[in-house]
Amino acid sequence: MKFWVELWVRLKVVDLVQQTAWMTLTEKLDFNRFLCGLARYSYWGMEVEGLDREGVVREVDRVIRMDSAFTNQNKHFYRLMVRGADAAAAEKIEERGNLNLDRDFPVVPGSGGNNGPIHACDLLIREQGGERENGFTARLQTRLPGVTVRGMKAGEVWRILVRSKDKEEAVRLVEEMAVTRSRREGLLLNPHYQRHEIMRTTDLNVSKEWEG
Amino acid sequence: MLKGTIPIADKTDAEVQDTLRGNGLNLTVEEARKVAGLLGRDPTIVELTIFNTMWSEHCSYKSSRKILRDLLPTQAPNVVMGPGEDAGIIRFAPDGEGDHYCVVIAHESHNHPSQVLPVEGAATGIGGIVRDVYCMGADVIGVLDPLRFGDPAGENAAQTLAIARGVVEGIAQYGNALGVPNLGGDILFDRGYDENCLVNVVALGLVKESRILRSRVPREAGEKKYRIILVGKPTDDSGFGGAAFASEDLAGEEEANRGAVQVPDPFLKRVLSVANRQVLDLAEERGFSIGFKDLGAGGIACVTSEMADAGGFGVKIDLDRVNVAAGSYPPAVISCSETQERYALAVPEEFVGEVLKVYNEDFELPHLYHGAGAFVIGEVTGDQDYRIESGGEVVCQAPVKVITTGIAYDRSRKPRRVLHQEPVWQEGRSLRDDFLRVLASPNIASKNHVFRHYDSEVQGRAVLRPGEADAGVVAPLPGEKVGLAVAVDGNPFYGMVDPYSGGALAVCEAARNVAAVGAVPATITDCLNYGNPEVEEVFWEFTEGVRGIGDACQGIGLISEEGHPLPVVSGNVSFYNQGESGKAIPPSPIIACVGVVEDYSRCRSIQFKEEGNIIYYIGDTEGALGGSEYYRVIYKTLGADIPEVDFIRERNQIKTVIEMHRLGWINSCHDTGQGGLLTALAEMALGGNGQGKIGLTLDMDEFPGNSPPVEKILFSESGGFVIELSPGREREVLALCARNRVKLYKLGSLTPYPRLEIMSGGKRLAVWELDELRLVFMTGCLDIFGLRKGA
Amino acid sequence: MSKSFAGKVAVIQFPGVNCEYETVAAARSVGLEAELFRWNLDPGLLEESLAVVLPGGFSYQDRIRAGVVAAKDHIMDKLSQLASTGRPLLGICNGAQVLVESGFIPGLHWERVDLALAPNVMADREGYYCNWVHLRNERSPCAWTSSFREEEVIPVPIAHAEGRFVTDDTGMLEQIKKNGQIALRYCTSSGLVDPAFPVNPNGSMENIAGVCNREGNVLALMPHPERATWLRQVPEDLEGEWGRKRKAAAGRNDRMEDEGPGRRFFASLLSGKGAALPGKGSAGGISLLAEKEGRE
Repeated sequence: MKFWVELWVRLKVVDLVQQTAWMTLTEKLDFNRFLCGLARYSYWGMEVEGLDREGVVREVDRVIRMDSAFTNQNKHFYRLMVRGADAAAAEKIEERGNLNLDRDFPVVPGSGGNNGPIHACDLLIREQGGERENGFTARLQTRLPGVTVRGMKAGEVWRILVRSKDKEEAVRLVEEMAVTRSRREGLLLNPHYQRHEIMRTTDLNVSKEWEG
Repeated sequence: MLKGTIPIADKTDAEVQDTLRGNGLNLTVEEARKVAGLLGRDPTIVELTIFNTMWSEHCSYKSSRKILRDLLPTQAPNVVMGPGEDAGIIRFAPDGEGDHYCVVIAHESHNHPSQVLPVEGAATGIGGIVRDVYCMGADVIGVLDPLRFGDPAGENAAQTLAIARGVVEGIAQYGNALGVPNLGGDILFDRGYDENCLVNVVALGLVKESRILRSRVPREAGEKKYRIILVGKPTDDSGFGGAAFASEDLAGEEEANRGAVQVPDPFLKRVLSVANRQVLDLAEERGFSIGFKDLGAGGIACVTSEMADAGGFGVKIDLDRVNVAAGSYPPAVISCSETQERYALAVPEEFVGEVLKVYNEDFELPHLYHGAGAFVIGEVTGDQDYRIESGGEVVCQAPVKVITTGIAYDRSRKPRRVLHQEPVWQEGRSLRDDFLRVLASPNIASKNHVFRHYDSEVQGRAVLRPGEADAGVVAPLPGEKVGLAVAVDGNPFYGMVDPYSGGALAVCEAARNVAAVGAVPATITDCLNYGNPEVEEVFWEFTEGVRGIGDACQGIGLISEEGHPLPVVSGNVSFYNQGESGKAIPPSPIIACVGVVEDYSRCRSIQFKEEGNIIYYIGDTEGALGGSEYYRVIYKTLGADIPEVDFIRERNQIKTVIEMHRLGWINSCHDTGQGGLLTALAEMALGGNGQGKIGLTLDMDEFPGNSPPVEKILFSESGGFVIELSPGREREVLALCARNRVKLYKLGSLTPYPRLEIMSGGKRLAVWELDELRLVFMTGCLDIFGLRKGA
Repeated sequence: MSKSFAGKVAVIQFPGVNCEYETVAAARSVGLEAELFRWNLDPGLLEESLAVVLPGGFSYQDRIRAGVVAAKDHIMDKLSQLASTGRPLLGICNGAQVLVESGFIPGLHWERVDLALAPNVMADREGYYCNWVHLRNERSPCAWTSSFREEEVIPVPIAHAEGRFVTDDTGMLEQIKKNGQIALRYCTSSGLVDPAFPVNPNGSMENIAGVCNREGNVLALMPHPERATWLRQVPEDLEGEWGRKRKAAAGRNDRMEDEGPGRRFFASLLSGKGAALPGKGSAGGISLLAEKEGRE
């Protein structure tokens, strides 16, 4: 059976990269009128083939907990999600880990001005060429007997919270913040060796659950 | 009045024990009662927390202090400051104006944190050791890192590899970003470190004697108002309990210990050191005396009480004025947290404004790190009281002398009885194959791959880089001739057989390394890594190791000034190095030696220089193979006959080699350490970068007829030097060696053929092409540190 | 704080850089006057400067991406104006990363980011790599290499984790080549441009080690010339002419302060295309303790 596996990993301790990005975006690039929260994760998404869902979850969980290339339990929170690859089975998600992604929306009080409701965009940044991803695939494969790993996406996810009138504006703002096109434009990636995609955009006013 | 006292005096032992554990304190019940006795009342939680740190093994040296004091020589004419403060200091060159240039050296371990979080643990190790040097007013000019990891092919291989790679990454991340060059280090593997790696760190600094800063409130505080300034990262709880943690054994509690590990920030440290330099220069310019100390284990409370004690003053701290990270922390945490990248200053009131401006405005600390900055957190008082206030209430108040009272234990000891045996000698083995196996051993194979991960060039002072010679050499004062050489050593395999020899030979080897580049050994530091000192055999191993170090320092002596010992100016004791099984690590004293060379242009790399030059061996042929890599790799045993400790021989050899350097005779020189003579010759043929092309034909007939089997001569690690001299010096060389009573053997001459060849009685015993040696030697550690796809 | 930088080489001290002192010393070694310039000083003070150097290190600890945070700093407005009007500007290592992320290099569309310095791609290793490499001086309009012979081989150390020049825009690369903007390429000690590691130590396209703008006044250079400014800094085991020269000087301390292979990057300012007359030369040599930063 085919499954789609996602692993999100976040630091338990203060994330200095996130802090610097926040300061740069708000103080040097004038996004203080929109930006109201920022979080950063390591991300792996892959298609795997295995006998059954439970076996895949158990094995992948064991490996990523043991191997510090993915997580070190002393410094990371993580969330592992396994869902069926075909549309019918996709609804059911098996999860492991101590990171609650549905509530991990670090809104900074008093930030982001007055430009509408808060939208959260998950922006995935990967390196071109796929060498790192092949390395991770091989690394996982040697440790996962009985599971075949295919189609790996590995990179960094920035969860960017902006105040915007709608999702479209949120996506536009996030791309402006992210893609470095010139000295005055963009910060988070250089398109000459990195690729990006918006994985999803959440309207936090619709889904209130995160306020917990 | 005092807030939050904890009842001790009228409680039972069991109750006190519960209270201590409930508050996360490692003090024993007896120690807690002692605290109450010293104070003459029940302590507050803040006070207990302070004593908890101050009386940890890490800070108090409670098990080791007496042994160290009795057995180690710390005084010599070149010593400016011996053990006691954060770092030791020696003079190495006059400045021509009545002042002296000094080298500051500090040496510590960061073993336990690195086992738990290798990258952050090792990085924080570098961060801590450089702070010890910075706070003496010095500029840090280099770091070294002796590392010991488990068996990379053993039962714990996966964890060992993750730790080894993580530690190297951590050292690189911190040192490279800070801008401090890596001057060397060594890496050894043994299953004895499977559950407890060793990450030792050494830092060297440069300062003029007149500008050495003391970690104390200056005398002038008696005449004018002095304030205490805290500068750096906002205080948090991330390192809370770290000092106590460093002295606990690792009983599978890695998860629970997370909070004890620090978050390193070399960026903030770099900005702080530039800003510190500006503040120190400004103070000098203005003629203000200031006190300066880094915050390490024990945080604000330990540092400010020690500064007060050293100056003979009192101090009052207001915790409400401490910049803290987001979150709210109880007074005990703010007082004792070990948050990284912080310093404390005692400065006169009139200078406060300028100091704050440098940190907060010129260098914009608050903009570079959320919540960072410099803040006045207290004042110096004329009384002798140490006082901490929080929320308008007093949470700690006692005479400074009471707070800084030490504690000591007399540990008992008992020899560890282990029977070591020599293996049965195997005749007819293939020398050719055996040597290739020895050379491929991770303990012998080139660490070039790792060295390339470190910035060895920054600051532009490098003369000999890691791997290029036995010691790293820098030109500390460009434009001046003088050079500094530094090396680390500590072979655990001798200590396993005999802990005394382990200590003694570590000193000899480190001194030899420095002499091999022509430098005169000037001082050593020791980092003493052992198991649980409450175990009698472990404490015996420790005591024997220290005795060996002390004897070696006396025996080798200060060659630059006859009649004085080689002084130990700084060091560190790391106990409780053991894993879940309770098995202690091998006794592991690690020595760093600093040498001074009059003219660094004479310091040569180990690589063979020119065809036709003659290769000599200064050493002996007793052939002891105990503890050698040859025995370990080929016979899978330690053996019993470890090299004899002979300080007179060591001293004579060292003097001879230094003299030859002074005469300008040496083209290359390498000491014979791990892997023995044959390994040394191969390393010289290949050179530090593995690019050598000049070969050697080695004539075993040069050794006397009654010598032991060739393997014993070629693989014994008994110590000596290989030197390359130009032809036509034979007579002078022989005379010099005779005068110094050292044995000299002419091994052969360098050939244009890229091969290493061994002849005996006109027959060829073995030959290796340099290319095959190169492949084996340069790739032997790749499986450990290299990037293998999918590994 | 109003110290004048007129006629001087200003070495910009972004927070986290760590090669600023030796860079000042290297500039002084050829007789130029050079001073540190803290990143948040009044940029107007740079108006009369002779040249500006962005030294190596880790500005903002390479967070997010090496060089990108410094590229957004206020002082870059001034540097943009100076560089676009011909002021010599050199970025070494981290400084090169700042120049690329600022769009000064390649600079065909000023301030547009047309290149990246991506993570090194190396055989059997990843991340940071520190070693001596050889550069070949190519025919270029570069002001900072004008004292080297064409195709001269220059040994210098590199020390970086992100030094791989790449672009997504092949047309741009061709344009840069055509303009002669590839000022320096990694090569063997005999000058052969071999694309394999370790000759090409980071996998750069075209073995690029340094790129200048079309006018030649701005150079982004990954290797560290300030670490090869004196003969004493050259390893004696180094292959090639400079290693032999260093070996021959062993035991001769009087030769240790002789010129090293990297010094002529700075000397180029004094002659040829970089020509601008410096003020009175000050003595070379890094002082014992950190150079004092300019203050009243």
